[in-house]
Amino acid sequence: MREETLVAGMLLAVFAALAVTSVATWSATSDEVPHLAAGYSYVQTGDFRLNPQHPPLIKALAAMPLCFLDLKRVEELSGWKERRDRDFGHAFLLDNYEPLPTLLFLGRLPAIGIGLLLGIGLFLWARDLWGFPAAACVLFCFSLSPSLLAHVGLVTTDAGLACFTVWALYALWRWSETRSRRDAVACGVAVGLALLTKYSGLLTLGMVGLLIVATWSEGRPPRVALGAAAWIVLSAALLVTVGYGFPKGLVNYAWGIGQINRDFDLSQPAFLWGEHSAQGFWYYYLLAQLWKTPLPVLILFGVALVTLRARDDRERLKWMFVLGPVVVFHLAGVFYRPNIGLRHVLPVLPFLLLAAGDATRRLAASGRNGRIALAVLAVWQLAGTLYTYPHFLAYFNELAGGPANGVHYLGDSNLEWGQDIAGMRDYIERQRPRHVRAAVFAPLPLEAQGIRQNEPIKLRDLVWPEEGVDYFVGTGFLQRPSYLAENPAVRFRWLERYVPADAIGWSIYVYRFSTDEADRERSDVMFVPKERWYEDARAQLEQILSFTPGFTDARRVLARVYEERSAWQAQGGAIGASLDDALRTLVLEATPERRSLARAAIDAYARSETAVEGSTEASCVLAKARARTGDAPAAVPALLDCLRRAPEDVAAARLLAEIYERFGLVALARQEWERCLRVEPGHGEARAALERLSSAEEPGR
Amino acid sequence: MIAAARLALLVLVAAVAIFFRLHRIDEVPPGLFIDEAQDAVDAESIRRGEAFPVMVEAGQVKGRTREPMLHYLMAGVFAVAGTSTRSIRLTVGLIGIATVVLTFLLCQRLFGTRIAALAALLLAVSRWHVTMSRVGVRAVLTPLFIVLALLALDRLVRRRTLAAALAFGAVMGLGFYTYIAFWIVPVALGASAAVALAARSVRLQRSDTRLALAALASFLIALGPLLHYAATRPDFFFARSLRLSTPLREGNDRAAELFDHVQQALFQLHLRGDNAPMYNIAGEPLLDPIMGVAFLVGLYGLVKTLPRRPAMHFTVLVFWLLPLVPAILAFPFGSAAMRSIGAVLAVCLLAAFGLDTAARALARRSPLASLAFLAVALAAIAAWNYRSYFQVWGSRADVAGSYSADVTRFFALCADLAENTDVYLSPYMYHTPNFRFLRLERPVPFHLLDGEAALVARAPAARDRVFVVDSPPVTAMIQSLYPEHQVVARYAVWGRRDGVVLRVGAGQLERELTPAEKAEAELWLGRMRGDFEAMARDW
Repeated sequence: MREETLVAGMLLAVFAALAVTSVATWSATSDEVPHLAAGYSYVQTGDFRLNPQHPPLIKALAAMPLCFLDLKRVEELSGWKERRDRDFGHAFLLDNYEPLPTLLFLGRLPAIGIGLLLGIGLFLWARDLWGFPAAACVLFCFSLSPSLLAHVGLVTTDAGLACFTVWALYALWRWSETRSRRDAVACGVAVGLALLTKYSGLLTLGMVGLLIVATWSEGRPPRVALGAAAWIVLSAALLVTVGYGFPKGLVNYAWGIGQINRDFDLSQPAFLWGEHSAQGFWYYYLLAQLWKTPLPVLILFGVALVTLRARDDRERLKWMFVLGPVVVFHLAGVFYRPNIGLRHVLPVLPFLLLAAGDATRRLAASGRNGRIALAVLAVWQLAGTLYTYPHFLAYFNELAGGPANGVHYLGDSNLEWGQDIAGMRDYIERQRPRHVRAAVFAPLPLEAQGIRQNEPIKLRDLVWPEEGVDYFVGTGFLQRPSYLAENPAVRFRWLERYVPADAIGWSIYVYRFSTDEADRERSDVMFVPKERWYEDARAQLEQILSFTPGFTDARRVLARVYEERSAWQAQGGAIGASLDDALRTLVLEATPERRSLARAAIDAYARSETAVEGSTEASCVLAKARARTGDAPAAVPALLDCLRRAPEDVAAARLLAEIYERFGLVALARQEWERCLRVEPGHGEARAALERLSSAEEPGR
Repeated sequence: MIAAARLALLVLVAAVAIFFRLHRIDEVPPGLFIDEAQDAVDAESIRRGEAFPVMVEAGQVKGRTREPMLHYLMAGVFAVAGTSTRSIRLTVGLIGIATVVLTFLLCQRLFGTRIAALAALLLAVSRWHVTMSRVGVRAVLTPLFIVLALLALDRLVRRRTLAAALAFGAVMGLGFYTYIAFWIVPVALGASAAVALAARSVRLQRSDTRLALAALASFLIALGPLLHYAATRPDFFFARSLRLSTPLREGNDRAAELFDHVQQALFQLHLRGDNAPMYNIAGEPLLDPIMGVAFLVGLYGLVKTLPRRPAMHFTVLVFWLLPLVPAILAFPFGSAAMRSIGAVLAVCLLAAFGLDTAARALARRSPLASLAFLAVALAAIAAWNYRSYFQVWGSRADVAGSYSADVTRFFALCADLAENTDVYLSPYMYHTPNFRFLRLERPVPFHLLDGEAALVARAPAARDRVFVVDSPPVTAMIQSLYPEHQVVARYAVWGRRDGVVLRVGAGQLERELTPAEKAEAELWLGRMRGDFEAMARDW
């Protein structure tokens, strides 16, 4: 017995050490901001006005250590009177007498304590079911389970629900053996705690009910089961009544159920495996479970299922207890929206571990090969966890290609939940980049978390990132169907196009770009050939404008792209292409500087030796056709070619003059109209145009 | 079970298969998929005796070389039933029906009549196989040749005769003329044979060497022409497989990409299916919910009882998993329902196991309830699949788009016009496989809009002229040449948004082009031809 306690204690110590040291590195995640602050307000005032969409237990427990600190009074903080829990959370965490890291770290310790309680329950139950060696294996897997380590360290309700569900069903299992009132009451207490933790604790209550019914099959009189059910309901109800604001606890509870999705925008599309859906995916949680549960655990679970033998009623009941929660939570997940994280089915994980315990027992008993297999699986589990440490939230197993590929599979609290802002701050302090631009999910302002020199990522960066800038992009932004809500065509396409220079906790990618040939081999910078650099930007912007032609910013950026590319092409001697781009800038947005650029490009082209292939006549026909089809930027060089070959082609000169006039290139237009008059002195249109232009001044001249 | 009952079951299975494959054959799918049009054009040249290819090539495009079996079968049907879209669909429909019937026979030998009937019925109604049995692409031959190969192997193992060995070798050899996915079959058979020998389900006899040699000889004879082709034109032979199996994303973890494909291939049955509308309701799972659950139950039972019949159960697993490989190795992942169609047999068999398991469990309490369960489940599966194929898939806009239903309609319009006028088609329309095949079906004397002669008549023209143009400058040029033209229709097919049908009266056509007009015509018609040639490189 002592030996068993020692082994269990050591494994739990490993679990605690991993949890404590990892949470110390995480910044505040989304739900922690309102939860911790609301919990503190419950403890200090007994008033449950804030954050009613979750029951109070975990929040209040998390706030307990904070009661020993000298903090501002709840009433002094903004958001309290207005019942705005996020504002209140910001004020509580950022405008308090103690720094944010201290508040967060202390708030997370009770959550870790609940995690330990879960481990103990799991160990005891596994030992009852499969014996000590299997229970030790279960606890080993538990202590090294990245998804559990990720969530037990957060001030959220998910790990708490997992803990009390395990305890409730364990107590009920014991009751099914002893039929003692004490076990029934213990089950009721655990159910009550589950209810006070999260509203999906109602599923735990439902499961307890179903399993009590299942115990009838053992041939005992229903009276016994009904009596136990009564004790369970009574204990749970009493606990909820007391725990959620006595004497109105049950009323508060019922009211809170109606508030569940209050702070969640259900219209936001869910992301799964590269696709978005406004309705969500019925199989979201099944796949999330598949990709975020360590493969050794899944393998052991599979072995348990395949080798499952339920020879009598007692065996069948045992497996109902073990597999029932897996089925019930996933069945609920099929219908549950929103699809935002594995954490909503976190209570399934302990039961997978419990089932895996049976497989470890069978493997161990199957001989040498079985024991070798077990050892391999144990090493695999250990390696996977240590590799991910301390970024457990971003854990993905090998089926998904590990955490580095998680961005292709799942988002939100599965990957980027704000936990790596501290890592980003440290990274910036270490690297000291000249310019920082960021689009990351941050529940608290970046400035308040020590990231001061940063600008938001704008449209220009998105389609045409700048050299010399460090871009920090959260995986959530890379996955989004659209970066700007009002322009659905604007999205990050960086995952397909670029390779990040670095990743922070696998949830924030760092991108750096260079078009300098000397950087081609560097791994810390993404080299993009200049031509592709411009062409990518042009193609994306054209696409955006085809969706929203009136998008001024996009037009402006596209004009810049053409302007810069024109100058670059002129330098490289591609004067035809340079002229084409220079004129395209004028089509998009004519400014005096751009007119000068266009004039210079036209001059250069007119002086150049460039010539089109084919006959003079054909080249003139081509030029005129281009002008007639409205493709002015392409028509100008063609018309210039035509006029160089046939300087007296009045039609070409007239078309050129008209185009120049449209772009505000008055002097050049005048020149062409004069040519018309020179060739055809009676050219009335040219005369009228020259008269019209005689008083006109060219903008920017 | 008595022979009459078995025969009745077989007739029932065949009837269901015929209904699902030939019902509304002219309507669903609508139009003509470009690949099947191209294959049909090539099949027609076989029917005419113009070519007897070992591999069907597409000009100099190496990545488009195709196995010829379907073309020969199609040519046969064309010879009997005429060259038409219906004949294309009839060819694949018959292949699908044959697959269902042979599946019944194979499963009856291996698992008994009950499982055979269930598996064949599920295959007969499965939307996955029905879809592939109604579009003229080569993939539909994969399941047929898997069944044939297994039947031949079963016969060889049971009888151990020279004829059986020769038949098995021939089937294996001919399988390579069907579709690239068949390459996986020898591997699957090899793995199954290895397990069968290891588990001592099959014991080798002294005469087996002789039989193996006979099978090998027969295999090599059947495969000979293809081996010769591969040796003489390796770049054409291997280009397609190389192109498809090259990972695309640079800088990414290729193993992770491959794992991703494995999962997509596995989950296409239950969660998220193929996005290509030609072969699936885009994104929808390939199995209906009842069959999906039955499959899982069957799979669970199979894995659980693997030690009891290792060879047989392993073979079923292998023939489920290995046919997924062609889909897994395709980069980018896509058209998986087509590429992995070889798996459909094992999937239906596993679903049949699942239904059988449930029915047997019920039978312990009430045989009548068991029978009722089977009847209701099969009826529900059939109804679900009927609805999802004929009503949902068949009426979707993306399906009509991918089967170029608008091109077929547009062809009819042009053909009607050609009765009273001379119709000049742009190179794009003239050469597109769909128009080429539809012209075989309904011979229409279309002309190619290419060169000055198409634009003007040297002598007084007898009939009006219709120009089908999808290039705005050419349209503008014709409009300026003939200001009194008439716009008959505008069209937008295959993303050619600017299609216009112009009619010019016979009286206006007799004229000369000025040098400038000639230059312009040369320029724009040349450009239109160039654009088409650039695009047709991928056909």
